[in-house]
Amino acid sequence: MNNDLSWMLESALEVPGARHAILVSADGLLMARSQEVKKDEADTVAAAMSGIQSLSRTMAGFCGGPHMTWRQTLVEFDGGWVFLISAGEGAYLAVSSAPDVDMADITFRMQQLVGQLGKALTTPPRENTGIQA
Amino acid sequence: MGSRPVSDDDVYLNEAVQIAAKILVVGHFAVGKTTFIGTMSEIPPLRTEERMTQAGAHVDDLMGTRGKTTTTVAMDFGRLTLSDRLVLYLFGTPGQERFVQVWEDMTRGALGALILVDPERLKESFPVIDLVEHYGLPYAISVNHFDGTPVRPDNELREALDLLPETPIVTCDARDEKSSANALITLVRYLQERTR
Repeated sequence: MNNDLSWMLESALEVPGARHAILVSADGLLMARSQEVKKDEADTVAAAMSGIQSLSRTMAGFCGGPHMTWRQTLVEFDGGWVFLISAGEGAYLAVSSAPDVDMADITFRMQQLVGQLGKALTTPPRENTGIQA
Repeated sequence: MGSRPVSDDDVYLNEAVQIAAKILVVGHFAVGKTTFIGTMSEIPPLRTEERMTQAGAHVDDLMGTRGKTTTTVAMDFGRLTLSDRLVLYLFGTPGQERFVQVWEDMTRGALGALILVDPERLKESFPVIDLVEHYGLPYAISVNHFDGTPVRPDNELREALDLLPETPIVTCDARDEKSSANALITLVRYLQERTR
């Protein structure tokens, strides 16, 4: 686990209603998580997110054309939302929130965070991916 | 390099670095991938099983699948800590060909694949083996033995599946922790030998 990245994730939670954040490598392994997510759960959510983005991408043709680029997947529960966006080459950022969160606010904050993460994310995640609790 | 390894298992791994190894668990439709990951995972496994519907009746062949009523629609996931230094992240992919895109994405970053094979339905494993080879993933074959199925000798299987001499073949029961763990360890050993 990369502590600097985990610390940066906390900043996405400053939006009122935001709950948890995780950063996932393109191969579905956990790179970082916000404090309140447990490691075991975060590992599982990371794997699920990689599946969700994979399935999401297959719907480009259904949406209008096979060459369109996937940007975001939105999941709604009766008690909240999960936002999944691309975090540059080879990573994804997922944030969960309460149902009444300001959606524009939180997606903007997530994009901002991706920008800040930028340089940290271009380093290969392999050696220190999701390892320490 | 100064310290002496404590056991053979330690030889391959960097000092004080825990390695996260992504392993695919693959195989044809209804071979037991979800069961296998459920047996091996130390955390509650991620499952995406859905009830099979009539719509799939002409596509997904249930002949000889032993009362199967659900199928994986996206993926399975589980985690297994093999040693202080090595953690396996097990990703199961759907067996049907219509999920090939997910398959392709799942291979990203994977170190190798465990291919589950049903000895009664060997032919169905060909497309799976082809796919794994297409993506250049090293693999081991694990024959999932259900109750009462005949045991076939390794050389017969090797020939039937057209495997390289070095490709490991092990037998497991996907419901049984010990034999399933043995299959994974066999794969990991094989991967480690290849990288030496």
